Amino acid sequence: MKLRIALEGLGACAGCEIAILDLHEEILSLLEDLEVDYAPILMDKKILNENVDVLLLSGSVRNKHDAEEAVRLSEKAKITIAFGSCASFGGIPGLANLYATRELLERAYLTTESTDNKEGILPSEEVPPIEQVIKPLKEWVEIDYKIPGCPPQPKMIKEIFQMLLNRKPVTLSKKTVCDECDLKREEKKIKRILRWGEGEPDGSRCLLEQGYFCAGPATRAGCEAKCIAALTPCRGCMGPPENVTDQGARMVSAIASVAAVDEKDRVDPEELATMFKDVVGTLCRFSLPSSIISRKVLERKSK
Amino acid sequence: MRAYAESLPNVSVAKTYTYVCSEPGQQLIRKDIREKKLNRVIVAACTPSLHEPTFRKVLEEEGLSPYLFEMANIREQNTWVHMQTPKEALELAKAQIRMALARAEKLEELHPKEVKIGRNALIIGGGIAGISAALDLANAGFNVYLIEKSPTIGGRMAQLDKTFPTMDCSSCILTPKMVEAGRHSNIKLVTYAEVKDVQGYVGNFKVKVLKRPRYVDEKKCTGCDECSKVCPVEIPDEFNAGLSWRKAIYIPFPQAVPPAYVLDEKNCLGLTPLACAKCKEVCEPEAISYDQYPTEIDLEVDTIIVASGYEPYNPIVDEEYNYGVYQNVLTALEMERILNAAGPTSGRIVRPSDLKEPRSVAYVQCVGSRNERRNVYCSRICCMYAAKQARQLKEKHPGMDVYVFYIDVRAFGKGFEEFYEKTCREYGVQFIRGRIAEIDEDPETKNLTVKAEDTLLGRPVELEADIVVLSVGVTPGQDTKAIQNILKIPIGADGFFLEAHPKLRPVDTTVDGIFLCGTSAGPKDVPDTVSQARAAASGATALMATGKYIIQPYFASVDEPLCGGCGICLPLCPFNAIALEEKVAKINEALCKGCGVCAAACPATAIKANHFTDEQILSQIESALSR
Amino acid sequence: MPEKFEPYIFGFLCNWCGYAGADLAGTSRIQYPPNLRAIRLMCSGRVDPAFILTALKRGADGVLVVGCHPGDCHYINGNLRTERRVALLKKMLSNLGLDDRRVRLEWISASEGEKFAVVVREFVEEMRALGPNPLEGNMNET
Repeated sequence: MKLRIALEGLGACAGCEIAILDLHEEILSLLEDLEVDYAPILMDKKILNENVDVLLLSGSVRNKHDAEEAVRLSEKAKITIAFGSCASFGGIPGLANLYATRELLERAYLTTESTDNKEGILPSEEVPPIEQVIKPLKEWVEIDYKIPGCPPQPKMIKEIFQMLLNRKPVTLSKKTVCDECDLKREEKKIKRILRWGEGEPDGSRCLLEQGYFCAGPATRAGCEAKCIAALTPCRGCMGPPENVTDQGARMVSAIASVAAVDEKDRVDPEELATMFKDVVGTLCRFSLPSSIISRKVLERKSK
Repeated sequence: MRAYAESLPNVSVAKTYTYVCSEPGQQLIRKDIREKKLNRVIVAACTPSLHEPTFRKVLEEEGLSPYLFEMANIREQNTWVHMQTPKEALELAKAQIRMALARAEKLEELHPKEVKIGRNALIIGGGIAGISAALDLANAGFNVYLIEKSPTIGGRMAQLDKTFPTMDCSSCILTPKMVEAGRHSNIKLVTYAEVKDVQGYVGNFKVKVLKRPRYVDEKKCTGCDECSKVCPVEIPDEFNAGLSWRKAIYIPFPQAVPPAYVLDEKNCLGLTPLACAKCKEVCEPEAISYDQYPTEIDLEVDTIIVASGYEPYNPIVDEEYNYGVYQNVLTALEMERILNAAGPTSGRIVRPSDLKEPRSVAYVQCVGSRNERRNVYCSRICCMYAAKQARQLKEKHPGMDVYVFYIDVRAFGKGFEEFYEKTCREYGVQFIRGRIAEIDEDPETKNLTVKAEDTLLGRPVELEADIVVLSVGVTPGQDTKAIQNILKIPIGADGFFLEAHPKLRPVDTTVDGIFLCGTSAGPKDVPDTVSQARAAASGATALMATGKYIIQPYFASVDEPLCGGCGICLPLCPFNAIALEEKVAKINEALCKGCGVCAAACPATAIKANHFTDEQILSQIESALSR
Repeated sequence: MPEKFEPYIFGFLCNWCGYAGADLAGTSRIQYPPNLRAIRLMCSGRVDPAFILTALKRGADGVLVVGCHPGDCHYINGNLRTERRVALLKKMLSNLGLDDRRVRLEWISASEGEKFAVVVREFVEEMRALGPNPLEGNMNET
């Protein structure tokens, strides 16, 4: 009996679907035991009406339609999986939680430099109403597993499909990206934070030690540290490690703790705060909606 | 309150009692633990700082882990400070009990840990500090390895003539101690040797010592001096502060321990190939052998005492004093050797330029000390040693004019004030309050003219001195940095080793099992040095005496499957308790003090801080804020 | 007449300094408002920014962290780590629209009972002026 799966992208970019294609020929061997009933972009079927064994939902829940579809589809599936970082923690769209939805709509439809919308029309007809706050998928439907990554690495996708095919529970790495990173570690002591692009990084040594922000220490392993292998610091797309809720809080603690305190190299606490242009955007890039404080406090207008 | 507490989930009994800490109060708890099979106890009363140990003992006696106990501080941190708001105080007390209960539910059965510790101590440095500590430990029955860098023990005190304020002859009180240390069956003396590496932790130190070759067999050498007589090489004698010459094969001073000569390989004409070999020819006991090599000695010790001493300040950098330029400007150590009857001039006071007796001597105080450009601290001993030397000069030559140019006179110790007073009144040494600004030399006579301000009289002073003595301060020993790298003990802002706590732990370091004493920890005189040395020995004894060392189980532990080996925790630990092994952090429970800094920093929350875990703390936060 | 808003302050006090200072305020009978719920930790360096965020999320109007004066930390420099964590956390809180004065770091030694009471008094009034924690029920904006 083939395992019947369906994919759906909610407020998605299709990156996760393409990640499946990145399995290349290895898809063929998987397809011997997998029946893909529904997969937008990859298959030309418009609506899923049948029941499936596994549902992979990617993308964030940005509007009412996303929320309704998430509920409708997961009722048809035995196992619902949050596929990709958007579904798992909120992802990049989660950063919209730093703005009022009014601000977001105005920026998108009125004030972008190339927009010519003198009447100031915000779409409202036949457009599903926007959700005020991005919440991770698990706040909308019951999730059995999550597959983090932006996008999840093909190798990881393959391993997880194999776990599903073997009717085994899906397990993720319990380690952090540092475990998969080959750069040499000497001493964790930071004197200043550099923006990526400043200075000349040493390609053999830990990037964080050189002052470049790398989210590796507070990010789940599973991606084989590919970004770092290409000499780019980790941005945390695999989300928080096994026991962690708030990835941002962990990086705040880790970075501030290794800011130099000895006589000669002392980093002033106030100075430390100014070293980041955007603390939340940098430290909680992919996981703001699932952090302890998941949304910026906005000024209340009287009703 | 009692009813409220009893109504909370998991509470099997709640009682009130006026003095729970008293014996009947404790009995009450004991009875309930037994009869009601309690596995957690909460006392809502005073501050845990007072009675937490009392109640923990009760639990322990009843067979429960003492760490399953929690206190709610409803006295010092509630009723005593909220006397005008009793209603709110009651609500707060309820919240405090809820918090204690939430935490108690998450407490774990911890037990104090025992680590075995042996009876071997290593002492780095064989000056009066090292010797005093060694003797105390050896007499208590412990085994001591006393490692000294130079060919003899004795240190700086051997170079002194008299000691203040008693005017004891320094060698006379030092040398019996040196002999005792050299002869003691529990002390193994390793001289001309340095500690090169130390691994491990308290009760388990593995030490590598490198002993340099003496080229003289310590057991065979009779000290006859024949070798020295024929040696063609002459070098400035360090023991006499460079004021006289020694040979390449020499004994540092007659009372050296071990009482053997040493061949200074660096200054010898050559050993490979053999250039001279005259010393060996004349050595009757056949003690000299050129066939010696540096030897590595491996030691296993349980405690370490650092007694590595100090370095006198070198005033060559202070151009205004012209030390090293004008022949008659001396340091106090050089003057000390001149004063010494066994010194370069056999105790005759002469000045270097013409070897004539000086008619006037001027002392400059605080050279290299109390100075923003040099060392900010006060070196503690200079006021007294200047007064001492000044008195000695006056004793030998009552007609000599002796001036001491000072900022303050610090005569703080036992007998110090009386000594200083007498030096002024009876001996006629003139103390002038003002720093010397300039020293000029007459190029022909080499007499020195000293310019200063007498701040008490408010007028400039200019006088002629045949010798100017710079009262140089105490600076950290040359080996301080190297020892720091080997032992990983911290150095303070002043460059001396840092004690664990300035008031209550002056001879401990932050690393368990390693103690500090003497001038390696800061400037001090002989009585204070000996006090600290004996205190350090006492500290080491306290650790080693019972054969075991109890650790409070507040230590942190790493959940290894979660640790990615990022290394962020390592530099955070001031106690060197964390190391990376095979890409995973490991915490040494014997060294961990339980501060929790690593646990809070770990980006993977892979470190658990026992008795202050995330779950315990979060449960307290949640129960505190349930409105 | 609307009831005066009583802020809830959550406190993290280090065993050797902060907690002992609070005890001293008690033994000296120095009075301060009953708005503080505090817990004892061995070192202020144990304070994880996630604890502070949780306290704020659970409705604390202000969070007080008390440690030893720099140079006096029983564990040498745990308090210096806390200082930097709180500074960076404050920046994060501002980014999230919270007034960063809601988190306060103080150095109070075991002998400063009076200072402890003064700090609590001041902090309570400051939080009263700032108003209730906006997080309680801020999931919907207008």
